[in-house]
Amino acid sequence: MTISIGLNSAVRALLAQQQAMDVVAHNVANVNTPGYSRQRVHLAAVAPGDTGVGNGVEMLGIERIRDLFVDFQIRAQSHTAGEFQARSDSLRLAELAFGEPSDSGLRSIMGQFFNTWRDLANAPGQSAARSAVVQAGQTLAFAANRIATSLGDLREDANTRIAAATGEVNDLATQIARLNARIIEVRGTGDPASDLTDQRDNALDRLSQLTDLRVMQHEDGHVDVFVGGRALVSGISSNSIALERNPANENFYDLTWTSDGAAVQVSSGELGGLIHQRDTDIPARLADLNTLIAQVIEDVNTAHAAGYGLDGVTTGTAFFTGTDASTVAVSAAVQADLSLVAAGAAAGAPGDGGGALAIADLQSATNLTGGSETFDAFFNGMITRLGVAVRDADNTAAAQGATIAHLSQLRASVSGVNLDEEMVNLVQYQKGYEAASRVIQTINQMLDELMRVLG
Amino acid sequence: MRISNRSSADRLLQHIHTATTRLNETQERVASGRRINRPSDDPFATARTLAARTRLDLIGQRSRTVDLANTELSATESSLVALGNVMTRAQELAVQADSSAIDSSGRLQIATEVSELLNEALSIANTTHAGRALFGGHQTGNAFTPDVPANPTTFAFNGDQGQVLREIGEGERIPVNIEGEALFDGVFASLVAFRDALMSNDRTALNAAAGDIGFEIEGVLTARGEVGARMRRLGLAGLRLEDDDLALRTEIAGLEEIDITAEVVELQMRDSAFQAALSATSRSLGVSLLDFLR
Repeated sequence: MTISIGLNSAVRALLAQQQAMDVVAHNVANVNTPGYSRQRVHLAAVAPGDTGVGNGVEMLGIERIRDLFVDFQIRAQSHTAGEFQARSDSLRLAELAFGEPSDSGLRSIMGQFFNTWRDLANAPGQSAARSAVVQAGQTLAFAANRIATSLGDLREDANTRIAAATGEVNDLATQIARLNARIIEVRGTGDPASDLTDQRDNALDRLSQLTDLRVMQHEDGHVDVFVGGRALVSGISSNSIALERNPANENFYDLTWTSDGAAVQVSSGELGGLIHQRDTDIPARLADLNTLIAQVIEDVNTAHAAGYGLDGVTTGTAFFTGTDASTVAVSAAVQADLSLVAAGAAAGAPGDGGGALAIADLQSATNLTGGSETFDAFFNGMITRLGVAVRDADNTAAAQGATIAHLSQLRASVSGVNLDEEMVNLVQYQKGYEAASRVIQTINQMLDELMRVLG
Repeated sequence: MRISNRSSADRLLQHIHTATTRLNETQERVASGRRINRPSDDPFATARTLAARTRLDLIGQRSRTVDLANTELSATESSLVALGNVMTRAQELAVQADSSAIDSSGRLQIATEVSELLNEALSIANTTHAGRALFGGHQTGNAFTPDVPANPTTFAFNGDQGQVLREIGEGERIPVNIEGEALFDGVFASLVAFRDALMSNDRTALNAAAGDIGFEIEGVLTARGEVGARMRRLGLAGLRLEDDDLALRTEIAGLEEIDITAEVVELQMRDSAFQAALSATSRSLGVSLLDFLR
């Protein structure tokens, strides 16, 4: 029966080469598919029977070439990149809102405000100089209002993006749970479920950009995903994150687990970055601005109340109303009656500009930061801190980006398809197929010869 | 290291992207001429340039103040020169009137001219500049009012002793007015006494008035000396402001502006790097084993 063994081996060889070529075809087809892991057939010799002659080749399986350690590393780095990218984006916008350095930003407007008081001191009787002071006060108030509004809008915008990112997290969780179910099912049939695993890895990659998470791999192929110590995906079921408006935080969204309403602990990723900018980064800038403007209001009003209006009698008038950057305005009474502007330092001296000079002098008074900084120094400090924060966030995001690019290279070098390699494999399997066909042809001729002799 | 087609394409794209970004950065700097377009470009240089710009704005205002103080002091000086002329003329008349060759009718004629001089002195005392009475201190309106406009004997002072100060430097304030009451009270009194002595043909009183006029001329000259000294101080302050202005502009330029030669060289280098990335990409994307398998 040795002839039939030979035929059997040759047929197995044909099938094996064919399957191997199918895998090559699959690899070639997916050369540009994102997240695709190349596959490789495992061929093995079939052990010999009683005769001692081997029984040819068999395909043990199709292996998915993937380095799980690199996957782990990429996911560990992605959330930091996502976090700092989000923070850098919003801090850049905050930087734009201030618009420094320029001759039209708050610094310049504040300087012009004090300079118009000096001009008024030089011409306390002129209504043009009084009007200029009121105009400069309004410009200062509008500039402060505008920046406060822009910063508020940035928080609002971050809140909207938090809602969108949360929606994406929930979608991905559902998707991963569904893929878990199918992977368990397919692997039950002996198939490694390579392509489904690729899809799930893509979902996990994206999820790890959105939030910091932990992934646990199980024997049957499913993964559990933990966010903030709680299961987002557990086997074939997924939890979800709900958005709840918090009246104590400007009605912005808090993240809670749908299952029991507990708070979700997100500290990083795009989601963490957005929460950080909404609740920490931007409010810190707004608080600085409010500190500055509140001090300007207080100091100018105190000095203004001590001075005298054009009639040399009216005193104790406030110049500004409001308490912070969003509410500051020039008092309506002063706007309506320019003679209320207190340019005089003493009663009954309408030609005196001492009161205006006292207000101009506030520019060099150190009333901020525990009596150590002038308005200008405080503002410049704010801008420097903002600049440093933007640069740091940018640098961290860029460094993380580079690390991830490097890890992706590493992953691609293991899992990616190389067409030249596939072509070599193709030629190899083609030759194997041709050789097996030749074996069948030869055995066939031998059998023909035998039949002819017998016949 | 094993290279996959996708990863090599990704990496080539990344190189092109990096080269484009770097080229774009330099292009922006060369085109705008500025190395700081936003605080994050250089946070600490930004803080310095912001502080320098604020000081520059302040210097602009101080220069305006110096110019204003100069015109105010010039106006005061012109008034004092005119007042000096009035008093000198009065002194000449006093010498003329103190002669035995002149009779009472001649003295009455001189008295008419002295009345005119008195009016002239009053109008000088009430000179205004940009709406401010030069000799009224902190009060607005006429500094002096005569009791009987046609034939005054006393002049009420409506002003005060307030100093009109102009801030020309940090905490440095210079007065731009001369106290009116101290200067003009004696002037008016001596001229009234002179006129009255002429009208009453009283040579003793005439002599006394002539002495007073001489004393008042000294007072006017002292005031002119004071104004001149202040104007010289203003001139120095103006020069110092110009120096500061130049120094600050240089500092701001140094902080904000690019070194154009260095940037253009950098631009050339980055442009070459960009073209190299493009050419490397076109070469490596074109090569495949498929071209050689027949």
